[in-house]
Amino acid sequence: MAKIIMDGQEYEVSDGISVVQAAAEVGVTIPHYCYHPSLGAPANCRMCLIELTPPGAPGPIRQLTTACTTRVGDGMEISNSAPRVKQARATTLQFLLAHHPLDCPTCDEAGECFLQDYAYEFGHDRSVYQEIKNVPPRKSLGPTVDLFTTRCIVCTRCVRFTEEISGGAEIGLMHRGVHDEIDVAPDKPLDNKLSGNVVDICPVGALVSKDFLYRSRPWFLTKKPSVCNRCSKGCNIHVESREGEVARLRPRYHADVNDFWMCDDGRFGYEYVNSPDRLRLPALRKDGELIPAGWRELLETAAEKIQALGGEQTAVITSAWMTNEELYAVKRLAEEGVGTERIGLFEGPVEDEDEVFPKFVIERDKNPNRAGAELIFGDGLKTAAEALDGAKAAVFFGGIPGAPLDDALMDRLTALEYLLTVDILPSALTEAADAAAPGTAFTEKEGCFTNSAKRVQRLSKALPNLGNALAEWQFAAYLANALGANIEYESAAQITDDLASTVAAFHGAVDEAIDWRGFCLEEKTDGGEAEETAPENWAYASRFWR
Amino acid sequence: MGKPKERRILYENIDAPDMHTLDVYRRHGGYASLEKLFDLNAEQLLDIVRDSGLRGRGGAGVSAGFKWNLMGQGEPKYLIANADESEPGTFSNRYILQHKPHMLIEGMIIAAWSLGVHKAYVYVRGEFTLGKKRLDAAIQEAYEAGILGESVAGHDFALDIYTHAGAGAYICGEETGLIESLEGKRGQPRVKPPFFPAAIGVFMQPTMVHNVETLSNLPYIINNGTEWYQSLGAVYKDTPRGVDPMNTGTKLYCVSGHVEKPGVYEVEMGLTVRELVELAGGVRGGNEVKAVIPGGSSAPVLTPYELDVPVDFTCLQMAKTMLGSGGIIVMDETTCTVRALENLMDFYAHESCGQCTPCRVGTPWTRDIVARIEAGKGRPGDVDHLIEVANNVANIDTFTWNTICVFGIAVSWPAVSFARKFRPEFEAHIEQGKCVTLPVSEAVAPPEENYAWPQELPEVERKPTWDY
Amino acid sequence: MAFEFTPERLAQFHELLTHYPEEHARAAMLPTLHLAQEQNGYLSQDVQAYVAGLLGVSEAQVLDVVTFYPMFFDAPVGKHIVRVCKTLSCDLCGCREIIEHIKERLEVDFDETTEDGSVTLLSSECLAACDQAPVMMINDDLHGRLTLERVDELMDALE
Repeated sequence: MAKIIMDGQEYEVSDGISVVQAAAEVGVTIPHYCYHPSLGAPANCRMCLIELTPPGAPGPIRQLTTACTTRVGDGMEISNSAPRVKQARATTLQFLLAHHPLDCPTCDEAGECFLQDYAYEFGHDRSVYQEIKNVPPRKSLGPTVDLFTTRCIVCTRCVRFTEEISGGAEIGLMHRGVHDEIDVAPDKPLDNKLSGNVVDICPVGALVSKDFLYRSRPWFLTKKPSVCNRCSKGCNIHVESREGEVARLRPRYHADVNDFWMCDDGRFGYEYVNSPDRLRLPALRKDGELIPAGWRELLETAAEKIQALGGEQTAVITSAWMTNEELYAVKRLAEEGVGTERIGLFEGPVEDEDEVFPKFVIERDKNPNRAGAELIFGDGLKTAAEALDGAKAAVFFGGIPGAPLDDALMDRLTALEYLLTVDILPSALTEAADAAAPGTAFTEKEGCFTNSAKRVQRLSKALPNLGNALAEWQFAAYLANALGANIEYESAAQITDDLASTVAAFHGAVDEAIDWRGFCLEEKTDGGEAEETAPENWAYASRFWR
Repeated sequence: MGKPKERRILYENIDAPDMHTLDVYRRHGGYASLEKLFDLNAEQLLDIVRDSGLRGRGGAGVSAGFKWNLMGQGEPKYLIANADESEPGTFSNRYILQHKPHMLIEGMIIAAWSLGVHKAYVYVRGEFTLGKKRLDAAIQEAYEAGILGESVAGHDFALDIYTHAGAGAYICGEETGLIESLEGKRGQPRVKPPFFPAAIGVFMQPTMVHNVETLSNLPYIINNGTEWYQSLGAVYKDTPRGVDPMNTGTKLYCVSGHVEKPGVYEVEMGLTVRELVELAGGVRGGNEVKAVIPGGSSAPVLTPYELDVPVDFTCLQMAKTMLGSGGIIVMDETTCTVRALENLMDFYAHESCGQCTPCRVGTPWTRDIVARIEAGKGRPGDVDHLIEVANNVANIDTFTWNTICVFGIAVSWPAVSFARKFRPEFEAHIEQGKCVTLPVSEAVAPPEENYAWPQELPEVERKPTWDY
Repeated sequence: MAFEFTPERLAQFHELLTHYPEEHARAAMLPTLHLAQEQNGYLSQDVQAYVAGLLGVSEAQVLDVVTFYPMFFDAPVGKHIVRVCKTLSCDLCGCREIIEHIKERLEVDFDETTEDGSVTLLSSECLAACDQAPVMMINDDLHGRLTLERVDELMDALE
């Protein structure tokens, strides 16, 4: 720890971090645009200027210093509010706004724009710029991102992101001086799986997501922390929704999982949640057709059928896209309700290799909770095909949009005497089922995924269940009880605690212990040598990451 | 005590036929320093350079010895000769490259040996086609003669020198901009700290960057000794804190503009602006001086009231301007100072690298205001507005800049000094709505309104006598 | 046809690479672009892609450099490049008259190429030859102490 004095107040902060980070740690904002803790610091925006007195110096140094490039040192004195600091920031804003179009009323960023915020907090209340403004045209940088060039403040965060994090260096700074423009080379668009991140790091409304453009003012969005479901990495995200629909997904900082980033597969992979085709009502096959029915009827007929065909002849197919809690409820359904050892895992694709970027990895396993399923079911977990081999009936939990069901599995499932599906979108399988129950998408779930590094991470319920849909854990408990079991859960959190007390691998992972940074089931193993770890940016993220 | 006159050391024999070739250079005593050099170790050489008082000729005037002392310990180390001569009004390096390239090579060998460098670059301005050709040929000759390469002049010391051509960016004359450019990027200066080149320079290694003229002094210092070098030029005493009193050696003054005989004048430092103008044949047609820029276009301009200030590092600093690169631009009574400033601001607006906010926006903004005034579209209050905008890029009164590099102050120095010192002419443009060139007596703000007045010059410890 | 260095220039390029540490091939960017421009006249998209490939950088990183430095051309230029200095010392010595004259004579403005494709006229910042003001460069050669007559002689020689 280092002792610093800021504006006359003494603080203890972490060693070796930038003054911007240190100030964030103690709850002070030092305004900045170009600096981002996960990228190199070019100190080009000149917004974070502070007055610095190095340790032991008789007084402040003459030049103002950039807080982003200054590392804290014991005994350092900082003024974040000296008159000349305030004046420097006000003039920097004056320069930044000189060519700015001031088109906040039509700008996507309005409401979460650092130019707006800092202009309000640190800027002048009127413009003295009377010369001609630069008006470079809007342009497309790639399939996901547009550039409103006039709004750009040339902080080069996006340039550095493509150089340092995604590695393709597709974005460059072109021309010189006041004609500086962010651009891509002709025929070399920004087209990589991390492209959406440049929109997040743009501190102003210059880079916009084509997906989100003009979709909503940010203040109308409800923002819930959650976890991405597109691979086993488990990127921390925020689900931002409006009027029952997902409006956008954005990465949430996690020092050990995804830093500030997420991939486009996850970011833009939410459309199915908003699909108008989503299953909303339980349905039963009557006279060859699936007819909407009540839950009681569905559960009773399902129990009858399963009992008639024999529990041990019934397969329970669970999914690698279900939460730990759902999986555990399904486990109890299989063991205590159905009474079967035919438990199989249905899963989404697994690629041959991880997609590796200089500072980000998209994992090859496209299932968010394989680790959870394997830990919860242990050796009893079979493949779906194994579980179905010789079975007469099945309860099939799907919930994986667009997951390929190979023909052999499809044939086997449709050939069953009784098939109950729990899924979120209609498919050939749900159409062929004897009973089709609506389930929940990840944005509607409560509970946790366990990522490939065995970190249990919490989802939050960002959207209500659709129609009459039941959470899968609830459905599993009801069905088990219809089959004579006695499972009483009132919330997913109860299951979390139950799981922690009954499955050894989850020991300690009680609901209370799982915060928004997750819970590690395995302590990180040190490779012997102490690895040099980057300073963590939780304080920074909570202050500056929107 | 004689009148100031030229004393050619670096420029000695620069006009000799084929001076750019090894043979002729050697015939005139070239490479003699290598006889002594390898008997001296790094410590001794650091002492020699420090004691000589040699100051960097590129603009900042930092003591070369001070800079050498900061050189980092990492390996490899690099040496870069800055031949990106682009400061308006400066043209002495051009002729060194064209006519005496071996002198630069000799100076680089001395610096390289002293600093433990085995790889050196000369960053040559892209437009210096002849200079680069001659330097390339000279390097080739030096390799063939065993002066460069595996074993420099037969000693156990390897040195390679490469030339690297720029491509037309003034900012690459800033040493960290140059380093970025040498690394194949846009020439955007680095943030200092942490990137002081002596510690973290090109390829993130310790790097010494010197101007061509600075390096060219080294052979003569080695040949003739510290005492000889100290005896040249002017030394002052009791200078305020932060003002280096040493102005040893000769300076290559580049005099241009409205003088009878523009050119490079190599003179011991200590003569006044007025004397230097006289040395260059006086103002053309016997006209009256209106303004003199004493150190390249970035240096604050001097009015006729301020011409008795010696053109050296110390005195010009105390007169709130600078010797900079030694480019002296003389403007006579026919000059419109608004137009002159517009010209300069146009230059800076074109050359701002655009990296940091105040300079990227403030420089063209300043230009636009001056252009408006010159075009007769000035508004009341524009002069103060101009001064304010320029001072927001870099404040000339507090000598602080909000920019990454000193380009910021290089913009506001001329802008604010012209606007303040020639305020009546600026105001006349605004009042009359057109370009008006006032007579000198009316164009210049009264001296008591001049922010740099009265001049407080330091006491002389030693000055040249010009008795030769 | 995609651009490629001639064998001689490719050899020159490989020699250039030896000037810089192996892991810093990008440092050869400016000299390589000069070499490519020498061969092709300007740095087309093709040329830039080729240079990016040679140096192991992205095309954006090449375009970034090409657009920063005024001596690199990303569009075709005339057979001759005329750069007229317009900075202060030349301005004091009458470069505006010279510039007007050249513009009229060539019937082009700055940054334009004559209709016959023979001359591209550029303005230049201080060419560091202020003692010879006003000055201009025609291709690689500097010409100083310009007068209207001298300019005409030089222009005549171009055609």
